[in-house]
Amino acid sequence: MQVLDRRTGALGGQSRWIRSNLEVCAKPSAFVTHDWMLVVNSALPYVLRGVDPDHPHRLQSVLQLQQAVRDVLSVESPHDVENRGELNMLKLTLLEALVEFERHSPLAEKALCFHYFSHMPDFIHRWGSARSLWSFFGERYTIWSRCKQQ
Amino acid sequence: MEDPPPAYRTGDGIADAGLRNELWVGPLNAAPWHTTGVKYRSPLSYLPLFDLCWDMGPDMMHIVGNLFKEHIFPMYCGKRNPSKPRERTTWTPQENRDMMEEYETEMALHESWELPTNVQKVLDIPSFCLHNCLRYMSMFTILLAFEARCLHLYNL
Repeated sequence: MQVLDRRTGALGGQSRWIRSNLEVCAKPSAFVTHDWMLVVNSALPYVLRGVDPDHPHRLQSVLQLQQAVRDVLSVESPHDVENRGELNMLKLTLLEALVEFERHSPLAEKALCFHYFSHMPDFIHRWGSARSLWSFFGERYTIWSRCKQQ
Repeated sequence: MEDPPPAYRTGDGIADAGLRNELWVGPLNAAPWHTTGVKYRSPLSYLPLFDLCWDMGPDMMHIVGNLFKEHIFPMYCGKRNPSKPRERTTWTPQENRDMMEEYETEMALHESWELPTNVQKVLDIPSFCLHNCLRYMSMFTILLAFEARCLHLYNL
């Protein structure tokens, strides 16, 4: 765990990059989702490099899942372009990554968010991009309801 | 032979399932929600152009956070170990033994995900290299910018 924290700390502090003093294992609650997105988008292969030499397929499955998240975050589907074929390919890649991770992960990790993730290509086809599904509505509703309570 | 996949659900179908359950007057253990999973008709189903099935999208913000923050990194830290189940009095001894065996198998898998401490010190070297590399690169960039500024100022 210390190695993961040190590596994340070593990445911190650069402008427009991961914030300094962030530790993925010791203080995960200090991460906001944007930090996780930065880690997942680019830094994860470095942070996890060689951490599990006895189980290379396991690490490979995590990195495959990371690649699937990157693909989902980058793919767009404009309303005037029909790219269902591209999104079907994305769905296949994503499902392969999920199956590979499921093969190596314990039973308790087969959580609902992994299933939600498999539906993302369909929602990208409907809504344009993953940025449209970045929980703006839900978060704003939560803030609004809290303000109303006060 | 595998069962065929279920039919796609639609927004109208979900709304009808909710309405059917609200109007149900039979025994509770045979209520439609046991098969449909829908107990009530959502107020959102009355909105025109709103599809209950496709317009309730999963948000990527919580998916990214949950995958790595709640599952993968805690597994590496050994913080996802399931708690030990209690033996059930209504079960037979064999069923309880099977449950405990399943729990021990699961625990062994969880423990195998946890990173050993002796490997970590050796693997920490790349962070030092990359950190210094980034620092020297930023210093080099500043020097280049300073040099370019000087050349511009003195028309060299």
